[in-house]
Amino acid sequence: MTSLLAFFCGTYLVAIAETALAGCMNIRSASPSLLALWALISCLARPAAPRGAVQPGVVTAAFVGLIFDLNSGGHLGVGVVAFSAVAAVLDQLGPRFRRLDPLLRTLATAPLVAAIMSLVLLGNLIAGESVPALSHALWNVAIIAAYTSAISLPIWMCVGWLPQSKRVGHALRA
Amino acid sequence: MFNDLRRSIIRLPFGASVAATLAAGVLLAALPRRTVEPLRAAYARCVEPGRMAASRARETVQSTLQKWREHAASAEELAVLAKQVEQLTARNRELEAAVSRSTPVADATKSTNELPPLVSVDLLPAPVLGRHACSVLATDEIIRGGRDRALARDAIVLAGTTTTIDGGADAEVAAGDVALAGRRVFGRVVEVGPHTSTVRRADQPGYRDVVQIVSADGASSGQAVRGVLEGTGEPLARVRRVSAQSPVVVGDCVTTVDQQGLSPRPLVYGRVARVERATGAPQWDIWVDLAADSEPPERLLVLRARMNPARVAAATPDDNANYDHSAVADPEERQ
Repeated sequence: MTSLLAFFCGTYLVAIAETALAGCMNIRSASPSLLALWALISCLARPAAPRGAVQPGVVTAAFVGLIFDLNSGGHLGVGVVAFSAVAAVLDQLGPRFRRLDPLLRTLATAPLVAAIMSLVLLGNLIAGESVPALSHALWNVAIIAAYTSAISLPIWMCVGWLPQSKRVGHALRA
Repeated sequence: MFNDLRRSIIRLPFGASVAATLAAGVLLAALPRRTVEPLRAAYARCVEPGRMAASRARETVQSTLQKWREHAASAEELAVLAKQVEQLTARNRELEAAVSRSTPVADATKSTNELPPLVSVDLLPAPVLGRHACSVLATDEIIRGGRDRALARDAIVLAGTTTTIDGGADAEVAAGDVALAGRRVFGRVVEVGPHTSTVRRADQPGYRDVVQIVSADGASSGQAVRGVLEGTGEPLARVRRVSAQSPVVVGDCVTTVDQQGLSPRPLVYGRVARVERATGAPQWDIWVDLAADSEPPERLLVLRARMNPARVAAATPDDNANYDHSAVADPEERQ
């Protein structure tokens, strides 16, 4: 229950940070998608679930997607679908992704964020929302993906360091 | 971290859970906007405090950064100013050295061209004393002041009165304008005691002074006529030795001669009250109505001339410099 509460509080803080820091971290009218990064972290920063069991990453990503829709003012449900789809893929690629070192994880973040943003763009397009010109929108997606990937490096380093330190602590106690 | 969450969710196969979330998303997307507006409003209300706190935190951080930048800028400015102070100090030293090198030349120039005047003239306020004695000595007035205040015989005595005129800034009267109502000549110091002096009025017998008569319309001194003013014991003084060829009319001003060097401007005796000439006489008989009252005022101003101590002090180094020390050298050596 504590983990669940921490997840909700983290999602809340990330949503606020994305709104508050959007003006400060603007690069060519594009800011990093902290919610997408948070969804990726929530999917990957946990031990792999046993095969056949429910993968909570999909559910948590769907919740983050819902917050993304509410936060961005886009069509509700589009973010849920986009984040869930990418989380499902991540669940399948999870064991391989966890073996990557932080730098490669950082590099792998870019296509995942780009996929989420592209799906959101596509969903809004289908839902009839007004979107900018496709070339401009794709360019924005690329910038957002690169930007989010760049700032994710220290986070992936911390995510990789925490389990390792836990293992070292267990070994020392043993 | 997510073990609790995993345990709290109904166990479903992976495909089923993905399908459920995707279906939920599609269902939400299919809802009309009006239906989800309450959800958006509730979310906005929940997020608003966090946004406000974040904006305050951002402002705090920005102000702190701004202070740091200003502090850094102040440090840079301080460094620049310190450098300027060093440069100006060095420049000041150079200028002081240049001044010290040029001082002897400047002193020499000053000694020849900019010497203070040898005689300084000032006005000594002197209250009139001895009313009773004045009544006894009808011709003279006794004032406080004698040799102890550097008074000398024949010093000019002025009536030190003040006059208030009907005009000020509204009439564009400015400080420094010459007021011709004051500084009238009262008489001269005839005897100087240790502490008192005796002043003879200009209308009393025995009083004589060289005066000039200038036209009342303010003509230049080049047209002034000179004569000798004598006291007659009468209310009107008399001016003699004025050539009958000179243009003198009633109302002309009688003043001291401005070449005396004691005053930059002539001092007023009075105005010509009557002009007479006997038949065939070569000179005018001019009667002057003195500007100063016959009754002495409570205070007189004595125009006194003294040796200027500044001139003496300025001349002493040059005298020492020009002094021929060889003149007092050893006579044997000189030989």
